Amino acid sequence: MNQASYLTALKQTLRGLPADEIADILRDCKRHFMDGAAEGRGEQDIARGLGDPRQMAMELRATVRMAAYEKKSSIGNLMRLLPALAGMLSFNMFMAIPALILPLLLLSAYLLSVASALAGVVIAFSGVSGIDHVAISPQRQFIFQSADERAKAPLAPDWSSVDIGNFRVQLRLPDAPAQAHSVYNVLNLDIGPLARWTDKLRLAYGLALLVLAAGVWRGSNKMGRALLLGLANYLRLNLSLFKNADRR
Amino acid sequence: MKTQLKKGVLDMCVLCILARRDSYAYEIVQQLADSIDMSEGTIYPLMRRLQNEAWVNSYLIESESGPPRKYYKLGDTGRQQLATMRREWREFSTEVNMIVGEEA
Repeated sequence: MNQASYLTALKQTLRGLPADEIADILRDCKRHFMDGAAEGRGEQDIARGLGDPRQMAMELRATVRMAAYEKKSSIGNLMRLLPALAGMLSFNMFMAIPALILPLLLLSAYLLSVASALAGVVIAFSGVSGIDHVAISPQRQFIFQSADERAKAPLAPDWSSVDIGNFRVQLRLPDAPAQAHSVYNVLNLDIGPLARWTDKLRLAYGLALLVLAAGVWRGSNKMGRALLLGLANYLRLNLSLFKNADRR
Repeated sequence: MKTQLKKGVLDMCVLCILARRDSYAYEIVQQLADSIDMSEGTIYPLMRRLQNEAWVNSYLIESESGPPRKYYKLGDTGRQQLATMRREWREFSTEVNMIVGEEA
């Protein structure tokens, strides 16, 4: 492998990192080749000494993403860090599976937070507006009704109905019949047994779910930070410090 | 701690080299390669990690031929870290020698 092909392979595997980081790494690598050449070493020899460019790139990716996450523990940075660590783990497969379980558990915590937030919004909205069932059905199922019939009887009596584009959105107000009258619904949002709760209770529960969502999100950020610092430490210790360039 | 030492010895060696004077990656690797068998490529992620921890700072020096060279400098936290690592290394090697010495 010569300098050009080494740098190309390195650059390719680094793709996706911030441009200034890539430029920084490539500059240092070019400098390495020049310093080696100044000693009278050939390009092939220097490249061999550096080892697999893809492996170096994967390790560099992990350090860059780790630094970004340590600087700002956002979920975006976390989601960029996980594949970088996983990529490095592919060179140390024995640790890959248990090491991936922890981030995946963390991901479920984030998903729980999102789900709680969505439920909280829906239930709180229900408490405020009194609407406890939303059915969205495509207009096409109503196609066989005559214009007269459609004008005379709204499909769900005592439901509030609004046509948006090709869809009919039916909203159940309190004391309306339980079932929306549609052949099928594209989307059916029903707070179920919570409909029996008072408006205030629904609002309180919805807000409580939102608070829970926020708490789980922030807790996950902290947990993610701690877990990944521990994981990164472990990886740092087990990286091929004393092994040969040839692996796999 | 001990496992950390075993694998983290390379960090300590690099910090030690920088304690004497500022240096650049290629030069650091040459000095290490004299004593330790290691892949040259590992120096770059290693230097990045040392910088992430803020133990080491870097600066660029222009060169007549080719791209500027990145020099590394040991920071204050780096010096403290080196002292801690050296102490732990001494304790570790003393403990090990006590066991190994007894068997002889």
